Amino acid sequence: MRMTPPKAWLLLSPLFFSPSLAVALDLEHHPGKAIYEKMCLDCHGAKGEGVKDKADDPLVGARTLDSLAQRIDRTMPEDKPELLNAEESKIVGEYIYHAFYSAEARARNTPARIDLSRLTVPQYRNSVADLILSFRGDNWLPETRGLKARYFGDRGHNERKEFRDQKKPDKYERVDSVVKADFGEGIPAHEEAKEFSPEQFSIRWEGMILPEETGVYEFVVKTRNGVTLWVNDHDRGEESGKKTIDGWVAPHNDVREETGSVFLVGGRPYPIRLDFFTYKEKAASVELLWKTPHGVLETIPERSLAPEWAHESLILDVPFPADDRSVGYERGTMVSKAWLEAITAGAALAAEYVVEHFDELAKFKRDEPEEERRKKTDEFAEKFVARAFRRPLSDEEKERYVRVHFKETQTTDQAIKRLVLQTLSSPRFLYPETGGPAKPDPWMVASRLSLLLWDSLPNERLLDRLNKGEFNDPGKFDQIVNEAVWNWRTRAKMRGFYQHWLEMERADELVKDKGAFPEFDPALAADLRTSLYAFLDEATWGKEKAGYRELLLSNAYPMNERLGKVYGADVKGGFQPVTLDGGKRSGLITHPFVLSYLAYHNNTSPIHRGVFLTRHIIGMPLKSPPMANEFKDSKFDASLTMREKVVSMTKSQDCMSCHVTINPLGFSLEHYDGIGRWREQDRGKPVDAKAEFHAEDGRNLMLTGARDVAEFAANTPSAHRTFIESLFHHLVKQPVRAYGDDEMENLRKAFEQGGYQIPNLIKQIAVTTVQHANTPDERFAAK
Amino acid sequence: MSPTRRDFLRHLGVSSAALPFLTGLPGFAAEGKKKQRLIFLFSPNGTIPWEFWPEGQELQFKRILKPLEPYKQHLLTLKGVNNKVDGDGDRHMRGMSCLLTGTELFPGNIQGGSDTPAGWASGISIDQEIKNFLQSREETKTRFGSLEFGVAVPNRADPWTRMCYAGPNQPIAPIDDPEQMLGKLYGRMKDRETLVSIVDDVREDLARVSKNLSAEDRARLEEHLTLVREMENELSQADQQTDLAHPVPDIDPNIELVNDNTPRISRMQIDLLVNAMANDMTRVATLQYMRSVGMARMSWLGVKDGHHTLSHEPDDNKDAVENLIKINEWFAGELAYLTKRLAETPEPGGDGTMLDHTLIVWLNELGKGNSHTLDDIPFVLVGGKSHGIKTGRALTFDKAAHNRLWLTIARSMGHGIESFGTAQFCEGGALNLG
Repeated sequence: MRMTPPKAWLLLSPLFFSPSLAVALDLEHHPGKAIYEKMCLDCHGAKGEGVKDKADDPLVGARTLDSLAQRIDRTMPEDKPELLNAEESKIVGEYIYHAFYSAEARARNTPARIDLSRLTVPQYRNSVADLILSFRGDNWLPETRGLKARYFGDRGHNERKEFRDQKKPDKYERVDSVVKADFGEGIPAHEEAKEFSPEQFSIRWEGMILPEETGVYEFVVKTRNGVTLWVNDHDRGEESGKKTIDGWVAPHNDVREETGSVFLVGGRPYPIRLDFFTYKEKAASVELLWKTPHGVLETIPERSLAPEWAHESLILDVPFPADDRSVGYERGTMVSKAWLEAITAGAALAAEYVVEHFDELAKFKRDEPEEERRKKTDEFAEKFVARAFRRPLSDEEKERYVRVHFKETQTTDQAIKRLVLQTLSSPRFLYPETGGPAKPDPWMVASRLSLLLWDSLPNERLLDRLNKGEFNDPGKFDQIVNEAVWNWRTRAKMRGFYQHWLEMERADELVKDKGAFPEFDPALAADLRTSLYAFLDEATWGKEKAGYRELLLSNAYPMNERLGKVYGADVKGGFQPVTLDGGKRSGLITHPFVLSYLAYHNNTSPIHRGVFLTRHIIGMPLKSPPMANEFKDSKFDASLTMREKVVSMTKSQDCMSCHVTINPLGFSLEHYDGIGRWREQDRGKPVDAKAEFHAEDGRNLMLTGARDVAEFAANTPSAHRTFIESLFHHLVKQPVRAYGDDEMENLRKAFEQGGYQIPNLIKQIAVTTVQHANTPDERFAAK
Repeated sequence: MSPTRRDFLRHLGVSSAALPFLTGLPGFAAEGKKKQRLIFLFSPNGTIPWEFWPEGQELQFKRILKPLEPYKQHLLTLKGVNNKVDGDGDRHMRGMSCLLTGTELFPGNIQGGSDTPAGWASGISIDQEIKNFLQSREETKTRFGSLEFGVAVPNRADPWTRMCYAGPNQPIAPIDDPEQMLGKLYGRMKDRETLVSIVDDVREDLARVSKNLSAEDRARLEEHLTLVREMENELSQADQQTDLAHPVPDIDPNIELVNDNTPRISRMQIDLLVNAMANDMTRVATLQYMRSVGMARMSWLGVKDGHHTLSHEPDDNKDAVENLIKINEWFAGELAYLTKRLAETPEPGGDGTMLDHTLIVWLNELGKGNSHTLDDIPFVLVGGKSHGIKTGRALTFDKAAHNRLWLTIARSMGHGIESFGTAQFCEGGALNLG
């Protein structure tokens, strides 16, 4: 059967290439609708939603109209594509595209809304930590690295008496890049240590540690002598605080390993202090090491140490259920029993902590009159609740959330405990959007800003500027946002973004076949991870040569000696930027860590790599495979290259609907083996990384390798949109469209105009969302 | 360390409320053979011998033991028992770390007043030895096996602060925070009470903020509210389920661990200790006051100077001696309180009182403070009827090594060891206290 379309329609059809006009057109009377109902509806359903056992998947996608029409002409109706000619295919394609297939159509059909969200796990942990930190002051990251070291001639971190008596110096201070020293039977080699005696001396290292990831850190002090280690402990007294390691007693002068573990949230600075002494022992040595959550035991590197003191942070080491990720990003839209248990345990722990540290947090002074203390207690209590709720309290609220606890309990400790417990269990704390006015006021803006950028609540500086009225001054507000973007907390949040965007959880259990890749051990994997983090940090925050384009196009990677040996670069010492393989590489998609975790344990995996590039770099959506099809290497002729195997495995038409995109992208990385080393051959045959790629916009490109993919992404709006959308989701934890139909396009333009600088994009996302009105009606933002 | 703490938190308040969080408590299940318990109580810096040792077979108590007068018939003093362990470390160190281990210290880097520097003890302590023995047998096994209590022990690990050792180089830290001990024993039932007190407020709060929300958003808070209600139910059920043979002692969990609170902390720890034993959570316990060279300032006795400083004063310093007598009398009073608590508690599921089934050993790291002697350590045994120890008398030995006393005690609890600690100090075998 053939349908003859009316002539008038053909005249109108060019208009359809403008998506904004499409909506205005009357789809009810579209000629494609009749074709659809006759030829497609049986299998695809009235609204393209799919029909069970016929066409299961909804008829949605990212093809251009042309590409969609071509495909319909080539393949539809199934088994009888001849029933529709090219023109008819185009007409029905237009209808499908605008009625439900395109992103715009989907947006129109399912308006996005801003969901009321609770704090996610990182938001909860950071908010509690920063809430308590705010009573101590804030933490700042210095530029310098290493630890402050003080060397003393006496064993008790002091000058020896005879020196003191003669007023001769018997100590000196410097910054040590790492703690690793073997004094043998001698003394520290330093000009000012000349008069030290091997019989006794002592050293104190102080400063902060900068852990990258959240998890349990195992600290190890390897020494022959006496040591005490404090990690994230405010007390500095000899006998006070929680000692992570108490190894003051050193039997036999043997080298021993003292260990202790601490749970830390990544991206935050923590105070650290190591005391060391030797006395009447033959030899002296000391080394401070750690094992990070994904790392191997190593001397704590210089980059993870800073020679300034940081305030202690309360880190709740309560096990939390994972946040909901069903929409592709973590967000706080699910409450469960396990979650309630976790926040309750967290609140109880925080309450105990506040009571334990109350004198310090409330700034009590020694021998202060009781009345003064009572005043300070009240102040603390009100401030605590207001900061947790992210806005000042009304008199009624002061009564309800603060005073009630003092009335109903007997002791201050009990009242404070209840107050903390209730505040941290309150929806006002847990759901930051509750309790504010419909139209965001500066308090709401500050709350959103800190949540978006830092996964936390406003710090003292933000509140200061708010109280000075600077949020209402557009010029000042711009500065405020800028400053907040460059705060260290944003870096931690961005690290989380990259972990998610780059699917780094694939690397959690990264093990390679010993036969295929004997070089690849846990130490190498840990160094690769460090290298990727450093690469991403530089591309995001670097002073020169930074930005989204650098992320994709830079050919210099941070490499250390160990990595250099495996990846063919002559590197001496620690991490430094190195151009690998004569500059053939291209940005993060050829970073050896990414290539390693997107690969099989004994081979490459063009499919994993291709899917990753399609979804996250190029920005084309993929459906799930029509059938589960496991790659079984043993089923193939051993002489086949990886590419040949993948081609053979995915050749069916069902597979090719997606693999037509996945495969060429995956093949473009075939020059990189299973651990990301450059290779010329696979199974004795030259590697073929060339492939034809059909872009969404209808262009056909001949890809010759990774750089072509990266260049394509760097210059293609759909790729930019994918990056922006992923970042938006990670920061805001709401759908982009909920902030307006043109939000994405505005952000994309701003990104382009801002030279693809990532901090600019972060700022842009912040500025456009924190002021968004928020009433029950207006929550249905996309109309 | 942190994993334990996290596991522990898992048991806080909420879902565990419905769980039998006291599982592992045998309660009355482990009846049958009579129970035997053992408590070591340590106080530091030696004694004032002439005001300590009773006179005559009828036990004429001098000032220091006076607080124990009501329990005279349950008491046995042992004179002439010496800590003969020699080697590295000063006498305070050896007095402390060789006291329960009966063996030498390793060489190390810790310097005392004189002698050579030393490290940790080179062997297990007798309390842990007996604990391991009891834990190895089904009929004497308990949830904890042993509990190490402390009172005002400084937050510092060295041979002066540790007397219990799980093995060579493995000192065990006593818990000197009653709240921490309460948490260890009873899974934070007190926190649960606080939790109950705020649940109402949380519910109201949820209802209040819900009012301004759209229907969808309100649904989320409804879910939250349902969960809070569930939690409330579980909490109230948990309260009904916690029928212990002996209820949790009512202690203020927020007591500050400062010198002046020592008397209150001491009583709390004793209450907790007796309670843990009454509920059969453990049969071996230590209670360590301060540490060797302890500097407690017993302001509650009107003593202004630190204990150790006083203990160095010569015998003719009357004020110092008077203060030292008061201090030791105070320790005797705490022992008397422990004794009283055991004596007034009927043996759960058995005959007599808990005291009949418990042997308390009062220890000191020195015989006398200003001479630093390790001879004539003022050993006092209380209770121990079921251990076959004959009390109500004062015994004097001729320079017996204290290792032999540990042999006696181990054997009295069914652990038939022939040697403990350094073998040469076991010559002559167990002391006869029957």
